[in-house]
Amino acid sequence: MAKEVAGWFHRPAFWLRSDEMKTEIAINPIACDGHGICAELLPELIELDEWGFPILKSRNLPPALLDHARRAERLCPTLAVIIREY
Amino acid sequence: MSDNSRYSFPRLAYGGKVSSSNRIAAIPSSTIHFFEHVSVFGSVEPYLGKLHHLKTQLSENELLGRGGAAFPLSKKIAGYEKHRGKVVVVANGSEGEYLSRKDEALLARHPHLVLDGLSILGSALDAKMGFIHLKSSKEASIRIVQEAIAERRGVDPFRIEVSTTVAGVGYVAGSETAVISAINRQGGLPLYMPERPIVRGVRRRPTLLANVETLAHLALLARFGSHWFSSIGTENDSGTRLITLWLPSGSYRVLEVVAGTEFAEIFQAMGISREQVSCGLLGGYFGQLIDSDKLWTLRASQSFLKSAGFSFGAGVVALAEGCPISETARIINYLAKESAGQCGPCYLGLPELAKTWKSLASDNVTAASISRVDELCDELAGRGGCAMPDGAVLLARTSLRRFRSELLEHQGGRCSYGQGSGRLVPPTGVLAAK
Ligand code: SF4
Ligand code: SF4
Repeated sequence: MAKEVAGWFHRPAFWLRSDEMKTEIAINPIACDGHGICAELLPELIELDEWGFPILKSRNLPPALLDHARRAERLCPTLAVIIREY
Repeated sequence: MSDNSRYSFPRLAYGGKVSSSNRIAAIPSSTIHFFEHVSVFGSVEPYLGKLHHLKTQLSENELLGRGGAAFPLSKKIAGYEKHRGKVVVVANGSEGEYLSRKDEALLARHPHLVLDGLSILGSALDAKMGFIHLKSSKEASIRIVQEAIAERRGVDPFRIEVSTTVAGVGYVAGSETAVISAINRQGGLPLYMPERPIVRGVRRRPTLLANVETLAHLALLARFGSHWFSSIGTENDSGTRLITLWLPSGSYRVLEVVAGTEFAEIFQAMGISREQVSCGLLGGYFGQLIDSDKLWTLRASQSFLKSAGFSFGAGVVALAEGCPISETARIINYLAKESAGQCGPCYLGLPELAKTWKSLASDNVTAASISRVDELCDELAGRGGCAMPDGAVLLARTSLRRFRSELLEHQGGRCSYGQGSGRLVPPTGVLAAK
């Protein structure tokens, strides 16, 4: 069965919009299986907790990190890394 | 319009035993059938299909939803107005909160007030179809509701179907999207529905859900007017509300109280003295554990509790006699077991938190385990796919803060209360159906 994403995860409030911020990163906790690839590709923003699951240090994705973030998005085995541009 | 003064109080507990202060009443258990219902409250027909009338009445005083989120009904209706004619209305009586019994008691007593509310709301929005959603474990109440629907054929402007949810799916089963998913027979777990209001819910139609208590209040408000409605209660919180009060003995009472009534008064009316109680859980499993001194100063009003930093949730007050640290341990342990096992921080982190907290309830409390709880709370907050970890974290954090002196006692190998009976959590096996 496909894993459903909780409603609040997709509500704008979760993404902490601000006027300047254009790109944001999030991790879908329901999909994520804790493979940790994202933390390796994007250590600037993602660290792993004691169980190996990613903790986002910031949702704001600076342009300099966009390429790395895209790699993480592509390589995450469960497609749990989500990048949104406004 | 009927004689208004007659029902000033009690309202939903009509016919029940009233306290001497005339602010607390118990809901009787016998069902009010259609004939008696109409002779007491009058027919609902004059109030059907009147959106404008309903909106004026609701704008004059806020009827807050009673399912837990306290969302104003007027705002909810406004969101569905442009979908008039296509809306499906759902009376939600599934009561996901394990400790809440008020919806069940209300449906057993007043199925017709709830159905009246559903008809008033549905007909105002030109709905063609209504649902009433119940817990499947309560066969008796399903039967009462089905009989009530049969009794009122010809009165309801639309077809009402009874749907049930499998009991034991835990607290998430009462949430909006889970109810829709259950009615659509899609499994009854929360679904991804980003749009608010929900425009593709039951049978892919715009779906308005309202708690059954909200609907019963609406049925009276529409009949007797907003002036009558707000004639009791406080300025910010008018009317009455139903609460489920769990006594330290482990039994519960469903009471109707005038909004703003002091907890002290309620406890006194129930014959509970402060000495019997060590702490109480306010708002259910997503609420907080509060020491008895504080608890006795609070009032049964959502706005009062909110300004004091608490929430009434679905109106649960559960009193305990055991050590607050042990009670917290049991609740966190229960929540950890309830994890749907989808998110790592939830299914790995909550058991860890439960285990650590359990060590605080023993007599070898160390500073290290206290700071470990702090650390786990920081680590887990906001990391789930739903609010589950946040509920456990809120409880752990607030209990840690509020009962620190008791923890120091534990550190010295003492406990001022004893283990308690653990009645705040379901006995193992209740959720076995999951
Ligand atoms: S790579 Fe994907 S699955 Fe692995 S930890 Fe990161 S988000 Fe989770
Ligand atoms: S946080 Fe995730 S695993 Fe825990 S109950 Fe919610 S959806 Fe399920």
